[in-house]
Parts: sequence; structure tokens; C-alpha cells
Amino acid sequence: MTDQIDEPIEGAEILWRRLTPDWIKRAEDGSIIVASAAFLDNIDGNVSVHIASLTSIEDVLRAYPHCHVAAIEAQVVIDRGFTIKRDPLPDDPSHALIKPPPERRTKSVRKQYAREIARSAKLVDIANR
Amino acid sequence: MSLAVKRIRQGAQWSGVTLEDKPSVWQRRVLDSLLRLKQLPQSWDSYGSPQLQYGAEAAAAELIASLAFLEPPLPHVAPVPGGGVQFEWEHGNKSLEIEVQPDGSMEYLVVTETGQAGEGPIAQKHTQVPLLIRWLTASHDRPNR
Repeated sequence: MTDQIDEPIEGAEILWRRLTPDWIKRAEDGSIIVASAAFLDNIDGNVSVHIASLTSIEDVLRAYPHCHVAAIEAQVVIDRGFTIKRDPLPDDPSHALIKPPPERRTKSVRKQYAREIARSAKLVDIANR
Repeated sequence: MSLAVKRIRQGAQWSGVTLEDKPSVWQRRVLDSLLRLKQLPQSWDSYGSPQLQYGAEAAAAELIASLAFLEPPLPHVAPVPGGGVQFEWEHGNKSLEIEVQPDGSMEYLVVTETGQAGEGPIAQKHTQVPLLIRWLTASHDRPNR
């Protein structure tokens, strides 16, 4: 029997990431886009997200009202060789980690992938502000 | 116009970055963005990231100073989880990102008008960075690295 924490996350799943205002920028055409920096990490390479089907935007932002929320499709990160690991926290069962595979830690495409993921991200809470 | 960045140390930490001479509008705006990021608290990203690290702040301030004579387009200055900072430019259909890591080392990413991407370390910042900026603002495509 597979432990619930090891249950794979399907590509159709939506992942939410909290964004600080510094990660939101305006493109030359006036559109609002997500900075690549939002999907970089210099600690262990893991990026925290929330599995949308297990939470709500209100819960994700409850303690961080100054933040925004971006949505990405799990398939976007899976297609780039990342894995998504459930990492539930006591106060957040939806928490998960996007983890780079060991061979991709060479950094040769680290920034490129962060940019591609950021470009695929859709801001989901701006309209409600 | 040259920009001198004066570092004020208190022990091992910078207490601030001030400009000597008359900085340009570009320099002031970019340095203001950097100084604002320096004020971000612990866990500023809501996921536990440390604050902007000394090495990144020092190298980023030097980067701003070194770009003074080129006056590139204004970058978006974004904090990077782990204590780094990234300068992001979108110019026409070209993009350039320069990431300053917590230890002060730098990496770049370019995306050309045709969507080709290339990235790598910046080992010779005094020569590589001006080349990257000139590529960004010029009409041709691939930078000489």
C-alpha cells in the first residue's frame, strides 16, 4: 500500500506559489508577469508550492495578506525533469516541494527552467484585489 | 559619469551603501531597489528564506557601479530565496538575467529574439557584463561570451 505522502502528483494538478510583490513585474507590453527569481532557490534547490486541490487561496494567503498567488500546472515542472514531493506541514497539508533531479543540479539549465516555469505561471488572485 | 560606491562596514556587516559624486537617475533608482531589498526581513518570501546576504549585496552594488557608463534599461531587481538578488531585463524580444548569489558569484541567462536560451557563470564580470548589456541593447542577436 502506498503511503499517502508518496502518492504521485498528476500532471493536471495545479500548484500554487505565494509571490512577494517583488516577484511581480510589468512586461514592455504592459502585461503583468512573474519574475524568474520566484522559482530559483539558493538553499537546496527546492521550491515550495501548495497543491491547489488540497487548499484554498484564502488559506494560502491567510498569514501573508501582502502576497499574491501564482498557479502553475504540475506538468510544466514534470516535463523539465523535476519531481513534486508532498511535504505536508502541521498547519498546511497542501504543502509540497518542487525538487530538481540530481543531474540537473549542475545548474546548466537551472535559470532557463526557472524562467520557463515563471512564464507559464498565471496570477490567480490579482483580479480579486 | 563614474559612480563610486562607498561601503561602510560595521564589523563584518555593511551598514549601508552610499553614493559618492553625483549618481545618475539610473544608478539611484537601481541602488534604491537594492537597498529596499536589504530591508526585507527574515523569511521575506514567506517560505523561510534568509535576508539578502552580505556577499550578494556587495557584489550587486559593485555591479550597479560598473554599469554606470553603459546606462542600460532599468532592470527589475528581485530577491532570490537563499539570500541572493537578480537583475532582470526584458528589452524588445531579448531577455537578460544576472543573478548575484549569496557569496557574490554571478550567473547569467540570455534569451534571444528567436527564443534560444543560454546560461553560465560570470567569471570575468568586468568584461562579460558589459558584453551582455551591449548585446541586450544592440540590434543583433547572440552575445559574444
